[in-house]
Amino acid sequence: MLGRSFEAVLVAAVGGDEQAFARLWRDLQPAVLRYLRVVVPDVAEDVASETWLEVVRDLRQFRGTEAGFRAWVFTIARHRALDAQRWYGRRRSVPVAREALIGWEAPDDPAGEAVEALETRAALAIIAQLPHDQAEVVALRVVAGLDVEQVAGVVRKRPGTVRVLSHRGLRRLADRLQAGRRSRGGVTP
Amino acid sequence: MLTGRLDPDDAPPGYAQVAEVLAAASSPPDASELAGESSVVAVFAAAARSHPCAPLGRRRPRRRPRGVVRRLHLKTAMTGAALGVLAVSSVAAATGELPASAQQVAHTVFGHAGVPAPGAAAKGRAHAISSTSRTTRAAVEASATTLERPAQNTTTTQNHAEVALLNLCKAWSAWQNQQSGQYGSGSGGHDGGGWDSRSGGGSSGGGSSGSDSWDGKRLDTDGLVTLAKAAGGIRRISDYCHRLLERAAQSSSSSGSSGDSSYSHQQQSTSNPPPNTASGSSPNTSTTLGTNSNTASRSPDFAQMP
Repeated sequence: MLGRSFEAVLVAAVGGDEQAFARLWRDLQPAVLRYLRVVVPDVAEDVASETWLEVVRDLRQFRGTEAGFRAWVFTIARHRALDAQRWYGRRRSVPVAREALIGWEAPDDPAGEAVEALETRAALAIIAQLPHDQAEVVALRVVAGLDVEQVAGVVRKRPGTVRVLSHRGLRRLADRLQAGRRSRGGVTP
Repeated sequence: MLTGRLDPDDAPPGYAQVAEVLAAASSPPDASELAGESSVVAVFAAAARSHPCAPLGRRRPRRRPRGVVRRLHLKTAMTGAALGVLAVSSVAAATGELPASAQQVAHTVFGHAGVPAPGAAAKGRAHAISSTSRTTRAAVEASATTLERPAQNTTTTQNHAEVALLNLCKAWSAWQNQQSGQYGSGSGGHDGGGWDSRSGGGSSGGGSSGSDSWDGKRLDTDGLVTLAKAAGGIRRISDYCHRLLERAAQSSSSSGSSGDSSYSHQQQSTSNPPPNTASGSSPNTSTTLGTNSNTASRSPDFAQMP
């Protein structure tokens, strides 16, 4: 997040300042990429590139706060992802998540060590295992840092629906992770 | 917990692992996630130079975009990967009108979508994909007049949509030949990603205006978008067209050498993002976990024809 400098950075970027645009890009690109790795894992980089192309094209037309800018960029990303899904096929489930769970989940692995051992991509792949709506909402909340209202605007659902999807997604994550633990023969809670 | 900042020890019962996953998902970015900045900034800079604008804060009348952006403000309502690429890769990039350095960057980033390298752009400017709008559009609209044009390629088994796509593929192939500098030359072979060097069976010939039974109309932007839709994405066009042209050659008893030599896949001369394999699968980027390969190459979906 750029905080107080956002407005100045945006104005400069709109005026053609490359460094300002680079700041906007650096601030959001990792989150955009991670979100896309959840919803369209096979073509995340491509879709991220296309997202930024559209941002470049329409930057002059944006008006709003930094939070609004983030939501705007992720809305673009979502649209590009939907198009990619139509073109490339629906997002495939990732059966290897089981291995990810097992690999991450040593039988006597305390939580602290698991955090260090867990790669970001493994975490994204685990989230990607959720039903699409839940995965998308969780990703927008977690990696994009959007609040419920903003996520609702991006996915065009009611805030209440977003909350329900979030909760269900977390619940399902918990169940899957517990199941992975049990399959590994770890401690059964 | 959804902020990713909840300590697993503080998580509700049964959610410690979830907190760990979310924390990992929202961890600080690593260098690989910031790769490509210079390319994106270069495209931004090129777009800014092509379309200078007043800074925010001044009143500006709402007006239609001009110049490069307007020309690329395609009436095509087709969104998706091709449109996103084309919108900013733009006529300027596609016709090589960007400054050489920016053109090279745009080519590096969007070469797979047809943005030419600076040298090739200057040479092939007249043949850029944004040229001539009506011909291929007419083809994909499957008008009777258009369909009559490639009549010699039509077999009893081909429907009108196939014929239109076949023409698009021929135009695509010819354009590809031009972009890789194959005028009048049968030499192939650049290393590069994304393009299958398999030939349709004949030498490229590669004449500038096409020595093929196809009408020689150039591929325009609408055609490219339509082709990308049919193929399932820009990256799949080469494979898709190869199969289509190969099938047409096999089913046509009278195509002869000109039909078969209507195209040849030429490898791009510059490096590209990871190529499609012959099977048409896309690179799998979330791969540390051995994810499935991507969807297999799609067979031509003629139902997509408008």
